[in-house]
Amino acid sequence: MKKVDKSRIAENRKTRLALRILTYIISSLIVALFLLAFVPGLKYWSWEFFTQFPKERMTDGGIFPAILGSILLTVTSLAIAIPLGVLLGIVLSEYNLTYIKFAVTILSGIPSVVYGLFGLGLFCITMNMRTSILAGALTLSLMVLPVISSSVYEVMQAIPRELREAAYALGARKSEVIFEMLVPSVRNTILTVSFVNAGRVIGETAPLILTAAVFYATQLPKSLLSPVMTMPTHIYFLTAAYGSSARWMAEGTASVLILFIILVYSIAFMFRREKK
Amino acid sequence: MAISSVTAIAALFGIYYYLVKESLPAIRSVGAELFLSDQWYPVWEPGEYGMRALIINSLIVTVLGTLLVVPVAYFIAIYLHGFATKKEKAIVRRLIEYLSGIPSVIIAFVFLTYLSPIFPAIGIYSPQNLLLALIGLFFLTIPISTVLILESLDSVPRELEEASAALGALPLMTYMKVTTKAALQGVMNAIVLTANRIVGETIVVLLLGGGAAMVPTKLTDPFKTLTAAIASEMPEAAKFSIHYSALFFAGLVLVIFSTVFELTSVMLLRRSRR
Repeated sequence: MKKVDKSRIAENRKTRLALRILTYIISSLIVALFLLAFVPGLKYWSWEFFTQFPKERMTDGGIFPAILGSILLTVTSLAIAIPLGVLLGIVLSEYNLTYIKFAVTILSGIPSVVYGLFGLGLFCITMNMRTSILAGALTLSLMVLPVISSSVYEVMQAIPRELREAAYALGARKSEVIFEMLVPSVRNTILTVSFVNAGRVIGETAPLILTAAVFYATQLPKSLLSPVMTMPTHIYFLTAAYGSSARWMAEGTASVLILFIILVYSIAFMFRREKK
Repeated sequence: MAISSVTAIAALFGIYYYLVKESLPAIRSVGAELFLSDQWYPVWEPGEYGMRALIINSLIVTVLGTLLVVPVAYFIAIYLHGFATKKEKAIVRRLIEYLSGIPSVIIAFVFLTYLSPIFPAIGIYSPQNLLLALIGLFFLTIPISTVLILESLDSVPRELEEASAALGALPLMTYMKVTTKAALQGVMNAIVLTANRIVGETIVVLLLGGGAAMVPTKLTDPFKTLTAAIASEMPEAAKFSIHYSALFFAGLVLVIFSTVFELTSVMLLRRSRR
């Protein structure tokens, strides 16, 4: 009997070791990918790289317009999507709206490039916004709205029923229950959701190729109806259209973009920790 | 309050309506050829708009990509669920969450820069190909599939696992046969959502796939998907041309795929809640 036990313990050890090796290999590949994306570009960081336009057919200068464009697009689209998305998530959770919840679920699965197609047809062409910040921001906000509202819906659902019932029992109106009790209790989660989606928006490429981004802008955007350069589309265009002469700039842009994303995600996780 | 609900409903109907409306000219003038022909030469005079290869390629890459990523994600999830120390689990999860934040364009760029040049060096004619795209997609989707599978495994009541262990099952046996069975809907949901992520992915398949509008016969052939066609050709397509309309049709096909995936996911989750 004892012999059998020992072989079973050994077998379990082997399983554990095999799975651990698999996990460690994949994890180290992830770290390697991360380092390859971030580190090679660091050596191009300089005052000029952050403040100048690209020059000499992408062999010199900096990426200032792309950084500015990414910030403008992210801020504009989230300014539209967060209020609407949070509100929608609350409504879905507190009122019984099965069909709308269903629509939101379908919407959240639609590929980003299709949102780009829709934005191109509707905003750029039919509504005559052309290739512009506004068209891109509207497209991106439509894209993240269902994701934001689904996340808000989930956290609202996680609030115990008893809390709501207690508030109603004290004579609170529905709007008071929602805005004075439920929303404050999930405030940090809403902030986390917002920043996670900011991280997603800032790295989005395909919809922007179709609606907002140009390969090269000679001047900074004058209004919301101007086209922009953005960091992800800059990397895309440099990679797709230029050879090795522009690789340095793609590397530099990638590392700056990752810096932005790390910042945004760290803020998101900070709010999540605070909640605990 | 009403405004946000109206936005959601209007967006869904609007997207479907708009895609159908804009693809009508292509459907009218090209007809069944859209589905039946492999000849995708949209810039020729007259253009050829056979999308069969693009559709098949989207499906091939979805099936192969899902088959590649899900087993690995499953075993990582099993390890994190049952074998890992608390600290390991927290570190690996955090790592995976950060990976999920890396934009697809950066993943594509890294593989194009560091892995793609190896192919010609070992005698493969196309430096961008199906294999390279699948590797890129693996890293793109490993976070979502691992996290979803892990969450569904973690949600299984401990008593089930304890009962199984008390009957003499080894941990791996318990996790694979008892826990997985109890979490089956969640695991299948993870598979469906991973597939949906891959079918809609654009930049990775565009930059790493090589862009040939034909069905690949081996892993090292270049290929082009519906998403890649839209992103790479739309900026050059003349407004309201047949090409423009055909690309909207490609978008319509994609939305139908993703709607089917999402419906499956909703049904799976509904059943698992029961």
